[in-house]
Amino acid sequence: MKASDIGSSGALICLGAFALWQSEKISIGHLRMPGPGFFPFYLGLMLIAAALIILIQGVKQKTSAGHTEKRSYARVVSALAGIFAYSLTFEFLGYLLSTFFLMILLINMMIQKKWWFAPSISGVISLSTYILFKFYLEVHLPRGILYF
Amino acid sequence: MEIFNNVIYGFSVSLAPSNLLACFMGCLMGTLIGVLPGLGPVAAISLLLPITFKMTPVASIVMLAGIYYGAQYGGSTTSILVNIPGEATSVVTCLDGYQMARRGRAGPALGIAAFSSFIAGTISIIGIILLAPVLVIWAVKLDAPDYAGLFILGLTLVTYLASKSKVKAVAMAIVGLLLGTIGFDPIVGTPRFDFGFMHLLNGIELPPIAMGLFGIGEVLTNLEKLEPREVFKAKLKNLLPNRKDWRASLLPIGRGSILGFFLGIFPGVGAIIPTFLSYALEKKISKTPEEFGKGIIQGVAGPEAANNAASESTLIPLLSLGIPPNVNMALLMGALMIHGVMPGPLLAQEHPDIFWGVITSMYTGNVMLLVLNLPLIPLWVRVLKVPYYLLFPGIFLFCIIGIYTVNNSYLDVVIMGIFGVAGYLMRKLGYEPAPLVLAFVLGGKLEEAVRQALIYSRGDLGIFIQRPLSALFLTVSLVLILSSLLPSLMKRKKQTQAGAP
Repeated sequence: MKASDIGSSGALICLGAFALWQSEKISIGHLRMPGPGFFPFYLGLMLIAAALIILIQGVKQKTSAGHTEKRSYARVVSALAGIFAYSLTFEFLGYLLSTFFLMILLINMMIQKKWWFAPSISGVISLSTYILFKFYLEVHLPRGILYF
Repeated sequence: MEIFNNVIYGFSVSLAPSNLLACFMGCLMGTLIGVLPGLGPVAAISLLLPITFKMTPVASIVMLAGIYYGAQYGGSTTSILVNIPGEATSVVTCLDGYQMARRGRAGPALGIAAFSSFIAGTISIIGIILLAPVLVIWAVKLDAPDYAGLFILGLTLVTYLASKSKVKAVAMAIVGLLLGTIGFDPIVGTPRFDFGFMHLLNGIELPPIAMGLFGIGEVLTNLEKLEPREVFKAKLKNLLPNRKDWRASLLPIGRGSILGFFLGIFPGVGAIIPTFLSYALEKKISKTPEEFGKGIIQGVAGPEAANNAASESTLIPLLSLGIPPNVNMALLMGALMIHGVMPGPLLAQEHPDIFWGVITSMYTGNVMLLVLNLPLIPLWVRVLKVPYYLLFPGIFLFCIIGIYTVNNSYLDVVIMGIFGVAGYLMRKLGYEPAPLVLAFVLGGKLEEAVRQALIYSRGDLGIFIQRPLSALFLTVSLVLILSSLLPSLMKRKKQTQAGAP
């Protein structure tokens, strides 16, 4: 039994069922005049069929007891949390501040150096990219609480 | 004569200063991406999609195509010097390229990789110039049912050639098609799956999906385990192969070019499979097969020619039929569609500047890559030493700013983050993101073709098998599906027979 396949097929079945339900709501139509829900409805059915095959394969498959490599999931979770926090605070804090904090988080997550290393590199990156995007590429960047 | 005039016109477009600069930037970035392990051309093209919005359609496609074939050049450098393929297409080059470097022949290995890529690129471009217009004449005659069949065949091939589970690839293609249905219905204009968000009424755009799945997803996977990179410390000398090297390499280059060119045209094949086939072919016909894997120059020349020829011929189905044969081409198609240009049989007629400009720019790009790459190899070696703690945060920042600037909307950043998580989980669970993106790009056109065909035939499904081309495409798709099921059915039959008393 392969838990990852069983879990992922479950998610795909839910997605397929959701597509069926939503397609019915917007009218499937019929073969002579297919409605807006026609295509997603049949896609939903096909997705459920494919997910069921993955599920059956997952149930039949033996779990391999291979060696597991040491991996750092903490880095992945921190990076994701940083990106989502960044996108939500981007407009409020403004480009310079939010980028500065995101860079500190990401650099600290990758390497442990002296306390001043991450803030100084982050400062250089956020300021140089600000100048590049704002003045050279003329990209609209949110001002935020710093008003520039 | 007409072809000759078209080529001259193409060069007049591709040699215009802005397009030449775009080609140079694309080739340079492509080589850089190819050199850096862990970041492929798909991620790079995704990251740069938003930048192309401010460029002309010709310049944007010239640049993005340059990234794709430039990465094939760059990928060989890391394979030879670090034994880590910068690109999936350069995996085979590691086998003999790295061994050549260990024997003190890193220079000729890098040199022959660059020259064989150039020669293959030239052969491939001549092939494109001759074949693409012929396909266009044929494709103009296609109707809605034929297109539906062709799109289904394209998607079937992509899932059939998936390197992991085929069922999972099919599931991902269906998810991609479903994502493509978000927004206004293409026939009657009814809003679908918008859940009250204005932002979703026009559907999800390609950049947040591509950047999330490939850019963020790829970096997140790399973050789990930061591999140390040890660059081969040999001094690079004699980059130009000697006469003996040339004698040994010319035929493998020719064979690799032809193999790569023809295989690259087929949807789903891409540039990876031809490299393996070229290596296997060279080993099979060699008088000294035992030398393969120990640093033989034919093992570098053939596969390097094959990957470059294939990466360029993949443009044929995109430009002449409007069908992207792989995810890189799907991104290029997305970029063209963002500019309001629909690739397909009418492209050569309606936008000859794009059609011929892009084709001829590849030749300019190949010359640039050859001239630039050999003298710049010491620089690429230094690039390899850029620490991860600067590289990965830089990529994240580039993704975020790039996607924000498309619509000045933080929602796009959130969508990209969601697809970043999805891309990471998909890699962990053995699902390939490429069929999803390809299906997403083709989804709208496929739905339109299927529904138009059904309306036209008044609901008669027979229309898909009454038309010869549509019937042919669907039959080939069916054969492919059955052939992928056959091995498991045979295995099961054998097991049943073995278990019977």
